[in-house]
Amino acid sequence: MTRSEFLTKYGFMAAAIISAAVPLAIFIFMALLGYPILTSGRLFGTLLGAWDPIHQSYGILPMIIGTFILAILAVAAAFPVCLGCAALVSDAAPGPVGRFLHGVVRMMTGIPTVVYGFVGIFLLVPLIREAFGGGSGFSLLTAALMLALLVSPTMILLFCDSFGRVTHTYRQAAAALGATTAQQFLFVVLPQARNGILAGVLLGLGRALGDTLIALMLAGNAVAFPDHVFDSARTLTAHIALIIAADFDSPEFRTLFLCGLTLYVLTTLLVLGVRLTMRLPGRRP
Amino acid sequence: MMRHAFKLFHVWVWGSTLLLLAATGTVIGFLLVRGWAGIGRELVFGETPVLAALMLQRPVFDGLFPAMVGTLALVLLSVGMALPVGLATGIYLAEYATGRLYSLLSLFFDILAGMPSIVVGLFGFSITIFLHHRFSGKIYPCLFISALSLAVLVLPYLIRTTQAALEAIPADLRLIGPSLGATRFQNIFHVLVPHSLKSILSGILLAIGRCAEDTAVIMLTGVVVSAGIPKSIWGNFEALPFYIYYISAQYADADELTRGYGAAIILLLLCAFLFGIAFWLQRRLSQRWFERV
Amino acid sequence: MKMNEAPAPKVELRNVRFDYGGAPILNGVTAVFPTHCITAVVGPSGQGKTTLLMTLNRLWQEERPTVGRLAGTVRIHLNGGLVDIYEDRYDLTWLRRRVAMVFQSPNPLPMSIYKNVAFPLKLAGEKRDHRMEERVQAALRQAFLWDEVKDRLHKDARELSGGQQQRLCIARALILKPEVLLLDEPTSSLDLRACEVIEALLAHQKESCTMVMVSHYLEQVRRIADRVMVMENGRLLPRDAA
Repeated sequence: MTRSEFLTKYGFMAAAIISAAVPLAIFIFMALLGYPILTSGRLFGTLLGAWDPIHQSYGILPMIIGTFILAILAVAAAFPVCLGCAALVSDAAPGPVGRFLHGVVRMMTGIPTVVYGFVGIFLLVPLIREAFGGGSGFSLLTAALMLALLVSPTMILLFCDSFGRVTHTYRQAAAALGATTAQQFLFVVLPQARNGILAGVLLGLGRALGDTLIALMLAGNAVAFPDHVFDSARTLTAHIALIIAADFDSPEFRTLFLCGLTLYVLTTLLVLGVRLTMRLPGRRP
Repeated sequence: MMRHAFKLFHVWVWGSTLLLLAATGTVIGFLLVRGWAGIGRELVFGETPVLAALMLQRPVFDGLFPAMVGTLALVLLSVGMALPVGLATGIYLAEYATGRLYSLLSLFFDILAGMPSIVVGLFGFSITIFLHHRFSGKIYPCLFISALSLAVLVLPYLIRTTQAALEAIPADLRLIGPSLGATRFQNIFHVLVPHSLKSILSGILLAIGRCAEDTAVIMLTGVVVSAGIPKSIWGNFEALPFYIYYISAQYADADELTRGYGAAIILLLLCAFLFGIAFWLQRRLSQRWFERV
Repeated sequence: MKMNEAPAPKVELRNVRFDYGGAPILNGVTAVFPTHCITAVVGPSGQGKTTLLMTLNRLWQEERPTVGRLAGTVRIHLNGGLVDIYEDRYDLTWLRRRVAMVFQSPNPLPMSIYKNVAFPLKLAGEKRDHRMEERVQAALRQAFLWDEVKDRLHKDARELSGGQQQRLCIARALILKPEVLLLDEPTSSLDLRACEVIEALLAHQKESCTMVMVSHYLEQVRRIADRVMVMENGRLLPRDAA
């Protein structure tokens, strides 16, 4: 190996090490700054307690619950629509229409989150307020609907991918037996694409959990355990954005890093789940 | 019975698609209808003469110009920081790493890609605290910290597009260079990277779009409502997405609201433009590929 | 080339075994390819003929992760003696500049005709323009292509016809003056006329180069090969030409 060859190889390797150090560094920073809480013996009290600063209780459980409810609502609302849309795009629509729709969905991934939030405030919030009477219109439902729209392109593209991977011969075999498009899709493609669909749902959940702007702008941000979908709620992400202005050593401030760690762990678990379901081979197939 | 099921299937798939298109159309249409009237010279430059503003001779008070310049600076800085590292890492992953190291590295980058942007922002914020306590009390959230955090946010995109582009190169093309006596590095730089330049470029455009639209990261690391044109990378700055967020919550009068709509339209058009070119590049690439085969 | 003179061996394989991810491809190949001869390797497809060529310039090691596994010795007459090319002290780049290869389908790089041919020379570190021009011209002449392209050297190489492209690839392989040229069915994608031109130019190269050519066409083999070997079940057996 010549000298320049050696240098470039280790140059690339150094870049890879720096990149790989980033997720570790994020974890370490969160852990270090959250350290006082992690070691104070109040970890479980903080993770599982209520948020009540007046009584010195800084539990983030309401935010964790809010995050989960919102993400699950959004993905649940998006799922049937995305599945149908993906079925049309990759299977049921004639070629050019399918390709056009696929392009539209890809472009949708480019719509800025803050735009969804902005339109949500001035369009969806008044609508919800009027349609369901009373309240401010800032609610779990409002945020979940917008969030569903936000995560849809991600989910559709993943579904389309997994439908596309279903072996063509199976479909042809089914078609040869006289199966209609609908039957082919429901009895051949859908069962075969099971893993891909699960991966799409997990990825959608990840995006929904990690989104800040829509929750912050539309969910109302009340710290309480929501009773129903018209209640206001606060997510972990919105909590971080709202509390950041407080002074450096306050107990409220310390909980931020616990929120960050919780989000970190949740999204990492989802990534592991996605890798597991897709059985991603470590190397090229 | 079967016929009903058949009908139901088509109602479902077409219904879902139309619902989705209608919802997206409503979002975009609402924005355009409400905000289109406000689009114009005043939206960007306010009362300030255009030329004087562009030459940075006179500050713009009632326009989006400072926020647009802020976003531009942010994008340039962060992509500038992330690009060399991202490209080199993508190349390392595709061309050098094997076995366990490969799987381990791709796991790390998957985790990084899944990281919520607010967590990345919080990371940037903690770096600021760290630097503030350790090195200099003069370090506060600023343009540099924001750009650094955004670089972290888009790093996995750059790594993945580079890696995917290189790994998609078919074996016969990959072997030409070595068969002519090219070293691995020569093969990468003279054959493999030029060949995948278009897909890498489209990845860069997507990264730029991501930098331009992200709000959560910059909220925690130094963006403000009113700072004028950024004077140094150690100062506060304005940015389009944050302006949109701020206006939605704090608008004082109809004029400000109109500017909010205008900012949202500009950001939307910017992202649509970037994504459009990126996808066009990718499409052209795959078409060319099919012609060859 | 007279057969009874028994020219000195240029390439010598001794009990070469190659398996790909556990599947055996070469099962103990022992053979000699003599200097200044065209040795044709024939046999049904999927028998490892391409793999055999790639063991001679170690190109199989480019695949990553390396799935193949090689045993036995491959020696080539370089630097004045037969050397084991798999010894650590020999650099891959050094080897491949002496043992060149032409592939089954023409594969010009997406650049001009001139740059394609000059590419290996540039990689080898040649910086003098006039030297480069001389060598490119010489290589193109060797490949019977100079007259057809001398007026459009800076056009995209992919605009050439299939046969011209393959001759360009041969010129590109010859520019470093290799001692061994490996040819993997070089005419299989071309029409008869293009095929004949390539056969003629290859026959011309025998004085400077030892060639190992994988081929499907028995006609072609009869026309230009000095010796023929048959690949069967991962073994290489000699057959007399003609």
